[in-house]
Amino acid sequence: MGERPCGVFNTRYEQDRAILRTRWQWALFIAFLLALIVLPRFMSSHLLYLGIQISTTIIAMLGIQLMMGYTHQIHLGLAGFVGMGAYGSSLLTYHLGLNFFPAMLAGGLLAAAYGLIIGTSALRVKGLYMVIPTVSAHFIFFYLVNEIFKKWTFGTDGIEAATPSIFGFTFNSDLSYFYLVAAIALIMGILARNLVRSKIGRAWVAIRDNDLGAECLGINIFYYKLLAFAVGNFYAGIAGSLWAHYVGYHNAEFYGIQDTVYYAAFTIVGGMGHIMGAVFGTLFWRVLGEGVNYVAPIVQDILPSTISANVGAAMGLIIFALVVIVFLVLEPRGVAHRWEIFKRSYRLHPFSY
Amino acid sequence: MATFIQLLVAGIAIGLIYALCALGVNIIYKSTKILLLAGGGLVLMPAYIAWVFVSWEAFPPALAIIVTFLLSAVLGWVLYRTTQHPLIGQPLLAPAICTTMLWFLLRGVTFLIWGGNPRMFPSWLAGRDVLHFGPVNIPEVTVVALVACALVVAVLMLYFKYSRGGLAMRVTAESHTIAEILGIKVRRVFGNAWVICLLLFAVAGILTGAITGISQDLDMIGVYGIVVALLGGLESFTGAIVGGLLIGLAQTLVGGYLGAKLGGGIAEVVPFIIIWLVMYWRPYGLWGLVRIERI
Repeated sequence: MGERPCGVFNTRYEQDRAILRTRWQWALFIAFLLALIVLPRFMSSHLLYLGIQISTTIIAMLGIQLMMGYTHQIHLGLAGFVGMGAYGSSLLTYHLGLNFFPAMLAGGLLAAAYGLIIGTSALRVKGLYMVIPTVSAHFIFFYLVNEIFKKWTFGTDGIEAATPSIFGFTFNSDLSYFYLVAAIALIMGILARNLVRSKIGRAWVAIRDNDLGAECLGINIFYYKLLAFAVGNFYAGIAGSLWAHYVGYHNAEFYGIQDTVYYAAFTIVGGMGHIMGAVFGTLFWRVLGEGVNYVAPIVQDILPSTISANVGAAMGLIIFALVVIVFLVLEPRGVAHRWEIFKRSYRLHPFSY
Repeated sequence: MATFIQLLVAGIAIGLIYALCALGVNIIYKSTKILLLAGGGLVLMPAYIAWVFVSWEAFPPALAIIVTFLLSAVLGWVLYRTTQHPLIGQPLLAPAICTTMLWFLLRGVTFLIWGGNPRMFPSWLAGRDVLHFGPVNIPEVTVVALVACALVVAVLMLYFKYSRGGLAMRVTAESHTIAEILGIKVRRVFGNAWVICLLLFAVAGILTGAITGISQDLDMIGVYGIVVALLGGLESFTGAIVGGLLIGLAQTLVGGYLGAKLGGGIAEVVPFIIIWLVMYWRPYGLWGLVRIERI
């Protein structure tokens, strides 16, 4: 929402509904698309890897943003659902030889179905109490993969995930895979942006702000909460499937409890209730991760040799935790809130307050 | 039958340890209304601190335990003052996520300093003897854990019932406004709650460390503590104790009898299945307050 740029007046409904309102916004958007197409050609393979990681994470973060930011269904088990999607598609491609693209959709739907099963408890609990069903979902996912369906998933040995191909074209280079993932992330992002300003999104926001009030207005809370759970976890499943098929191999260890908590934490760092919050949160997360990879060897040299062997694993935990805690203490509303303030003061430039 | 009794005693011991963690979560929730998700780290850190002092030969044993509790209390107050105090008044999600990050922070720090190798307490704390009651064999340390947990719970109950600090805490749990009107410094009560919570987690950490050895896996105790707190109801002490016993017994019995059939992982996952199913039946826990809401 927010203020429109100075001097822009809507005279038609199409203008009122548009996401990109002014010529400048169109120009910036086209420039962004061009950069997305041109820049990867000059990027190193490590940067492409990072780009693919960020794009897939953005998809999952959009999902958790829909659940946490828009419907206030606290979700602390997202990694389990990401893993569900990844296992759905890799099992189908490995055992049945299905093409990647239908398998990816099936993986997303599997995660959504798992979300529906877990989400039925959302009828009775709300707010922070949702932590427990979702965390349970995460641990039950581990048990399902490692013990119950061991015959198909090969337990901790992991399972291969085939490289995607369509009409004879195989996405076997980093560059082509980046284009694929970025395109899907862009589509999912626009979809989410439009979803939250449709009837469904308005119902979600009503439930977030006051669920009893929403019910009195005639909104079917149970249906919309479950819908949020299904859609959000569908996003997570797609993200997991894309990442697993990029790496080519995965086991349940890919979807640890740390990732689960980071998804929720960086949603808050990014900003709840903003689609851009998912993007900011992901960028913050992954860039910070790169920073840790850069700093850890330096710290390893400084510290005495008795404990320097542990730095690799411990450094990430400590730095992530410290940065997120400092961020939450200083700006509990996240980066997106600052972004909104910046946009408003920019648009009202001479008279900003 | 002998196996059953052994499992029963082990289950009650581990259940009481969960109950201690759950009581810690309860106390924080009742006074500050914040769901404490840092359990894992709050178990790890005191356990390692205890290990340092207890295995230090020159240190008198009784003093080692006292110093551990003192340091745990200081840690609790510092964590509250630095991370929770500035967040008072914010939406409740931010402090809750902040506590999960405390878990990771403490986990990272303990891993950095002590590494991944499991440590053992010396034998005077973690007695290696096994007591024989006819065909039933019970490790001595389990009995010690049982008695210690029961004692701690009793002391806590007396503190809440008869001391001024406990009374202030009960008033704060009822209403922050009323407490302020009565001249109770609510923020100091919050700090006290964190200190008591850390002491409870320290007892839980030391006892579990004595039973299983100290390693990074210890933090699951804290996670189960949160599960137990929600199972029993976040407002209820009875709920925390009964829930702890329930989860502990379910874990050992299911692991002992069905572990071969359903895979070893079932013992770890059974608390989560139980709590998820109970959420349908009683969403606010077995003894939790059912809130009546108005618009």
